[in-house]
Amino acid sequence: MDRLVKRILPTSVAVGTGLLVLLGYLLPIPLLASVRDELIRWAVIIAAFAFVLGFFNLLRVHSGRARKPGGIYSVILILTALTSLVLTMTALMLPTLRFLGDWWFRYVLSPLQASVAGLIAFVLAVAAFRLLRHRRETSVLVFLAAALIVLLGTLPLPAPAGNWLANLRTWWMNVPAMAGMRGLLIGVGLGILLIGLRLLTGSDRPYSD
Amino acid sequence: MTSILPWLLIIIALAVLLWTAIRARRGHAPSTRPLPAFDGLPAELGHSVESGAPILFTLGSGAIGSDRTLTSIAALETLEGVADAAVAYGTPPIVAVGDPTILPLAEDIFLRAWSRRGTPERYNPTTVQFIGVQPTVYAAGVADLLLHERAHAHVLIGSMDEEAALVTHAAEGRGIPQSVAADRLPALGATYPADARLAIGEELYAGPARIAAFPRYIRSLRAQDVLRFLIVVLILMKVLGLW
Repeated sequence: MDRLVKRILPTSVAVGTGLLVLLGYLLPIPLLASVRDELIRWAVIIAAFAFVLGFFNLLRVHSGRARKPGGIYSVILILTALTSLVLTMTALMLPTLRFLGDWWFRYVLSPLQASVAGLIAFVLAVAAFRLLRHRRETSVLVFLAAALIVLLGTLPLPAPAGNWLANLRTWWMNVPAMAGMRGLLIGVGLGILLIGLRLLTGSDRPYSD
Repeated sequence: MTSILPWLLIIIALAVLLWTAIRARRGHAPSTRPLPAFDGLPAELGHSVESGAPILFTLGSGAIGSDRTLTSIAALETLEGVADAAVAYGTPPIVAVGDPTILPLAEDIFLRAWSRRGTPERYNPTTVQFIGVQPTVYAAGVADLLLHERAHAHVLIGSMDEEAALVTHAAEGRGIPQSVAADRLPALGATYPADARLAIGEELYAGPARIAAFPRYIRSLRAQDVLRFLIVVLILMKVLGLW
């Protein structure tokens, strides 16, 4: 019974569902396509419940950390998470107060996310300088030369140097960079294919022992 | 022709998997190629036990039900490869997830690992931490964990874009060893400057074979290599005008 519940049943559900969705994509049969769409809808509904788990995990982790030194940031995080929850629930129950949630997301959360995203450029510049200082290898020189060609080729420099650099950048992006990217993507595609096949044949069971 | 190609690829992959399984039954033990990003992981685990500081696993922003599902499953399988040893030594890693759909799967890995040792009550519910869905927020959250938790090493494995630079930068600032295996091209470019052992492209999916070393993973890696070889031959034939 234990084996049935813990191994056979979940494996059958996973393999059966996976095969139906795959066939729905590969075979032009309307019935399979509608079954595929229905199964995907179920998956989306189940995934939505995972957000509840995520929310409670966040509260549990940070309520523990709030008592430690520097815990003020965890307190702020908990208060912010609860504020977002209250505003979202209020907007759902009282549509006239929806503007509060919109304001919160547009003027508080989005600018915070944008400012973190803005840090990436600075971090990359620091990493490039660090790279020059610590690693003096041929591959590093090629990496930095490629970065310089792309950056300089994007600048609106006067002709003829500007045109030459722009053409070099276009060639670099279309030939060596594109070839490398395609090679990497083929490799990623193959890796994904094999994992998919392992799941579909029941060889991989991430949900049981 | 376009509709035949996916089927052809699937049939060849299945045939190669079957062929490697038959060869394994006949006693032929397949080996795996060295992968610097994962080869140092068992040693890092040993150092983590000695120092009492856990390894931080960053599983990326991939979700179950998205185009990043299988990458996230590869990351989870690699994590499962170290879970038993980490639990046996009493130094389970800290796992940072960027999507709540990965959370129960990652928690289940450690719950099962503790259960296999007969002590499920020792499972700590804060081993796996959900950071945030938005990729930059997730990266900033992991960077904060790296700066403030006593992590011995850092392993980034999963789906991330250029925001991975925030994470590797924080680990580099702490001076801890790190391995990076991300599937997205922007992440590769952004993490290349970091002082990290980098897994390029499909090497991410070889992680479970190198770490967990279950026969099914090794067979899958062999099939992956054979398919890659076939594709290279086909490309060369096309370039030389032979096909």
